[in-house]
Amino acid sequence: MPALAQDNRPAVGTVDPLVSLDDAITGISWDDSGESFYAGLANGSIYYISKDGELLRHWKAHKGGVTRVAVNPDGADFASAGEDGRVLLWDKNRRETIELANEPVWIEQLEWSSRGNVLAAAAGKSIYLWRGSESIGVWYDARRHVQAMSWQPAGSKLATATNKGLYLWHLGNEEPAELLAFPGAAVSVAWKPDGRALAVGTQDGFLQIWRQGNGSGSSQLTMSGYPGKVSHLSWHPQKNVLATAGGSDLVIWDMSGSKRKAVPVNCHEHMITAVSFSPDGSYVASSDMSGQVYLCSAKGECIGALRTGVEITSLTWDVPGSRLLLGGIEGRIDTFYLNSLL
Amino acid sequence: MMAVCAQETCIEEHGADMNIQDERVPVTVLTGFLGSGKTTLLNHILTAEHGKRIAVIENEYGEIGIDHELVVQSDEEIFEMNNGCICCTVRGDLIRILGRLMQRKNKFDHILIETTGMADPAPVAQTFFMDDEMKSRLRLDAIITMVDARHVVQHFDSDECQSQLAFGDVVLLNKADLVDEPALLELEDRITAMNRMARIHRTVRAEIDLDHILGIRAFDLHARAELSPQIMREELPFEWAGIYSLDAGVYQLVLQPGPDPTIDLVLGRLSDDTGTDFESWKAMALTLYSDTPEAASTGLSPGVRLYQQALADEGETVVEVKIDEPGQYVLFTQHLPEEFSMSLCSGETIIDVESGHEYASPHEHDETVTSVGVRLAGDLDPKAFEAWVVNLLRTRGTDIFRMKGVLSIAGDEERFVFQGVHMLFDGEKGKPWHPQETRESQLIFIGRNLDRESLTSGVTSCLL
Repeated sequence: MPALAQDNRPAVGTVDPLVSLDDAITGISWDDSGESFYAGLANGSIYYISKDGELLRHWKAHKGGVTRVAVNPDGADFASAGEDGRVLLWDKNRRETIELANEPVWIEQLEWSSRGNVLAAAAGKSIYLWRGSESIGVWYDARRHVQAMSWQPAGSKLATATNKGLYLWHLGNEEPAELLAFPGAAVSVAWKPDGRALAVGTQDGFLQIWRQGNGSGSSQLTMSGYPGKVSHLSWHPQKNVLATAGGSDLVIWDMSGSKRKAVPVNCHEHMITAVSFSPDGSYVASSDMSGQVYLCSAKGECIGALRTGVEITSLTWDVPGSRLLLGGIEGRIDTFYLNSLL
Repeated sequence: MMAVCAQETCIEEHGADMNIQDERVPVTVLTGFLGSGKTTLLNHILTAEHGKRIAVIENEYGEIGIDHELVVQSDEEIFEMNNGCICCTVRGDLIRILGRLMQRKNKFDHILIETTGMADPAPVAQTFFMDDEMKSRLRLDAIITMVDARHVVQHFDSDECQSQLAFGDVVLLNKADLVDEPALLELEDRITAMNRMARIHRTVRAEIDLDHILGIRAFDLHARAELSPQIMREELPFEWAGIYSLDAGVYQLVLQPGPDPTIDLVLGRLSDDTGTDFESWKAMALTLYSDTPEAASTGLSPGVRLYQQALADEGETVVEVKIDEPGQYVLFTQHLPEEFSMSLCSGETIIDVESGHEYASPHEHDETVTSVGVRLAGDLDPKAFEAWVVNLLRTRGTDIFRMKGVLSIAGDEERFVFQGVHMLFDGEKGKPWHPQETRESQLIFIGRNLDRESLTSGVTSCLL
């Protein structure tokens, strides 16, 4: 059991190999019980795995890779999207599969609204919407592709980040409202958990923040200095703190005071592949192309390092935040257990 | 490759990481007008027995008819980079698709990207140099431009056709069986005048040996540490230079009517004492030929000046040549002597040329897009060259499609090899110079409205 620790510090946890699957892990989603999770693979398979590594079920779901797996927050069902252009809904109770979409292009985005009643999938310039298995419409913007999207926490609005702009779609409306305009192209987007701010990372190395003011006003912040595209964003669950990654630079922005403070975390030497705040906000986990995983505090102090040797493609905390699943490009999933003594 | 943009002032060299084995997946870009045969070529590649796992990204109108492991349709989306340089654009759709394609346990051996007929290859090429993720996982192998030999002439002046031809590492003249030999030769000539780096192949039904198009490493600095002699064929503003041994006296240069109503001439004395040998006269003539010529009405005498002689419509034109001191003289002529049946006479006697040199004319074709080659003996001052190239790309990067070079930098034991795409520039150390070798620099530019004289004099001004 390799320990996750920095020199001269107590181990923050341990890492165990969990399962070894047959292709790259493209996405992981815990089910509502917290006892098991779904893993999507680049060869089209989906595995249902217990937290102890027991393979409960697996099947070939898509032709080509699985792009997304997403468990409905209300727990009744689970959806997947694939390179075959299909969106599938898996009803756990009735044990049946419903094909929601079959498009000629890759479905690249898939997300349930926070209350779980609406599922959105994006491909190219279109966003498809379902309530249960029933289609409730398609949003289409001929001018721009959806680069990233996210449902407002505890809300029913969907934010989409595109080339040169950030938009907000309301259920029932055909046209989105523009929240931000900027010169570059968006590649990532994340809602602040209180639903009052959005972060957007751009291809040309800028971080854009939209903030809801008191009343109807809003403001825009632009942060620069990244050497390349800002691909990964993760908000602190409560505080006004945002972890970001561009290239091999991990930067934590503290926007809680009157002055914004950027804390660069100098740990990664290779391109960062995932960044994730732990559910209680104590830690930021980050991984890179060389397989290095780091754990740092919300203040940006690096407190643990682990070498897996293989590129990590996904980092997923469980709901209590005591374990972190590391999905690798060669199909291995490791579990990192946080040391409870800390 | 880095962007030489308004804010940037330095050119960085790659570290030693280029020397470790390159495990990046090669990418071939296939451009060409609708109907040129791109889909046919793709099908050949996919059905050929090469044992390679190939992924294809085809444009939104693509229609590969065969069942293949992975064909992805992509809808072109161009991202501008907000870094002050207008031609720094990348393809957002490709970044998304390729990023996901590379997230697999077993990587593809090769990736083919087919663009639409109207696509500009620059954003596609730049994607592989401007996006860190793409750069670390993939390498651009080559751009293949497919041309319908029958119909291309109709599109020759369009921006799309010109940029596709200018970017092609390989140009395939498809449907070559439907065009006669003189027309094919003319086409090859025109394409070569635009893009001298392109390797041109004639094809019928897009059939070609895959070794000519896949894995050719056209963007690899190490693979081509030398530019081929054909690429570097010297192009000068004069077509001929002849050396004569003359006594003091008056000679007659006799010219018959030719293809042009005038001819520009430079006459120089070769002297070891003053260091004005043939090479230095050649360099001087190169500059002189961009000056305004003076009329040769009172005859020619040796000196640093450009003469222009008008030719009679009918019958011969005689220009007097005055020589004060016996010795060796060099005469540069704008056109080949035989085009004007030129001879240098002393009375009835025709003076023989000791040695004559022919040069390729840069004005064979009147294309907006041209290639300019520069070749210079000696060492370049690294600071001066850096300043010059940064300024060049900053001011002319939009018009310069591609650029390649092998340089002799003062103080360096190795060659410096570089390439550029618009405002992006990439350079590193190449093969060492042998002690017996003549150190020289070779550069080639492909672009729109290039000014040969200013490029040549610009590089020349960086000589130590």
